[in-house]
Amino acid sequence: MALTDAARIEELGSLLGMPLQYDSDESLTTTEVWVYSTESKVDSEINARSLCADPENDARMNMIDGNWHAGFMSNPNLIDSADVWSEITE
Amino acid sequence: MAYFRFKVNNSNTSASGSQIKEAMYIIYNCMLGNHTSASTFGTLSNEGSANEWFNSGDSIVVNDSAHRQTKHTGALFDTSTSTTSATGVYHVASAPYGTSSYAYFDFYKRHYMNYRITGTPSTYSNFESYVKFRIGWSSNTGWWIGMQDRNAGNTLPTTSNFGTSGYIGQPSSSLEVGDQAWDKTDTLDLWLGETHFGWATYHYTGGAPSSSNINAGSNHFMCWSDFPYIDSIDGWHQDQNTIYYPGVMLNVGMSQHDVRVRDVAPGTSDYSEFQLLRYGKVNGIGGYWNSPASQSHTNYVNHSSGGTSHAHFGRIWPSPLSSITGSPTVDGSGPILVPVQYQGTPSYGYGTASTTTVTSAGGGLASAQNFGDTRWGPMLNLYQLPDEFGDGPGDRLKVGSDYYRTAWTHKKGGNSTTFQNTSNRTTNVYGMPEKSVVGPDAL
Repeated sequence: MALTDAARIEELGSLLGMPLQYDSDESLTTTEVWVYSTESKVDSEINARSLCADPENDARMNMIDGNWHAGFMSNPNLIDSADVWSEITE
Repeated sequence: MAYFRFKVNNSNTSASGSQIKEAMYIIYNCMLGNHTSASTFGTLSNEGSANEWFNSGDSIVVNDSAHRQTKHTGALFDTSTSTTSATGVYHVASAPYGTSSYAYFDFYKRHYMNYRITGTPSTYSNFESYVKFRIGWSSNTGWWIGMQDRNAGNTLPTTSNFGTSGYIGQPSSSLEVGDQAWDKTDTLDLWLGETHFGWATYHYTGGAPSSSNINAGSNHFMCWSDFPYIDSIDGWHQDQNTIYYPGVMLNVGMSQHDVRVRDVAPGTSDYSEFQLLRYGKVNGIGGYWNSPASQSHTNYVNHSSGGTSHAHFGRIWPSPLSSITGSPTVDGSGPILVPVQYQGTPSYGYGTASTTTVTSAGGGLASAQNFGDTRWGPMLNLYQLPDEFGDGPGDRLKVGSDYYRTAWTHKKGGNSTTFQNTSNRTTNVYGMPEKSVVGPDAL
């Protein structure tokens, strides 16, 4: 389920450096993003390629409050075979 | 560092990725150290035939051991694909691949103090910064280069990607070098060094430089430079955030514009690009700011519009918008080489927004662990030359006993925010050394 709350999209999207879209009035036009977080620090579990099979769906990743976060502009159909990532929906 | 100049064979009109893979192998073999002269292009496995892709007589290879020096005993380029067992500064990620309309190859670059490089003192056994590059060609978008952090995320330049094609900057089809077919590129330049990597592409559609053809052509330059390693800053931050890398990417270019034409302003149909971005930029104690993927592409330096309201932007100095002219010295006209510095904490790095000063970029006082760019001005192995220096891109110059090669990048001179202005009439020129420049000792 995508994150759709505009304020949260701006908050997390900004921290992750996501390419959010704005109209000429500087109002957010991006309506949904997919954001996940994990406490894992294991390289293989936090590697973007272990999360999404599509190399053109770039993961924007950052350490926020000590946890890795990953954001996608389209549905990554998250793989997460280690089952360590949680989706942020609100 | 090693240096390579590839002159494209413009009589070859191939648009086949499976064929152009052969050209990728030539570039790849140069990086591996398998060519020490352009005369051997096309003679190694998978490279096609002599002069098929590059004109050997007009290409340049500076690739002997004296130009591939490293600080530690690990080689400059290692053929291992393992990020843990490879022993060199660079190493292979994937050999050239080509099919249909595209071709590419991937490689890793480690920071020069990465402990996996053989000979790095065990004192730094927690420091493992590295990035991954992809050099590719696509008939849709021409040459592209992308890089990713250690997690295989956060692709830079921000509109590139690690798929089958990508743009080198401007988020549209407008900034392209070499799209459609092989002959749509003129020259490629590659600098392969321990402390930085550089890549430049040029396409001149109007023949010799002429103001009547000012709106024909395109050029792109990208480099990634290591900062000198400081353990209390870099070791600490990588412990906190594994994508942290003490280095910075500069990505700059223009299109629908012949960068070689002197003393002429950009046309109104030109496109331009400037990105200065990092991985794991420090944003307060325990806080890290990610490079925004949405850039305005129209404003530069202190005014880069990143779509974020809480981070400070770095800059390089001399300003990429300042005119630089040579002045007389006892040895001729100078200054000839001005080291380009990265400045991570300019007073108003983000520009006009009042909420984006350094003091609002994060909590706590300035320290080695906060605003980690408080080391002021690490140099990048990139040198500012006088505007329009020499005859054209790729010129060789000698300073002291060292040789450098030039890259012509963008118009500037009369405007404080953008390249695309009628007051900008001179062309910026950077220089990078041919030989390997090893990293300084850790502090």
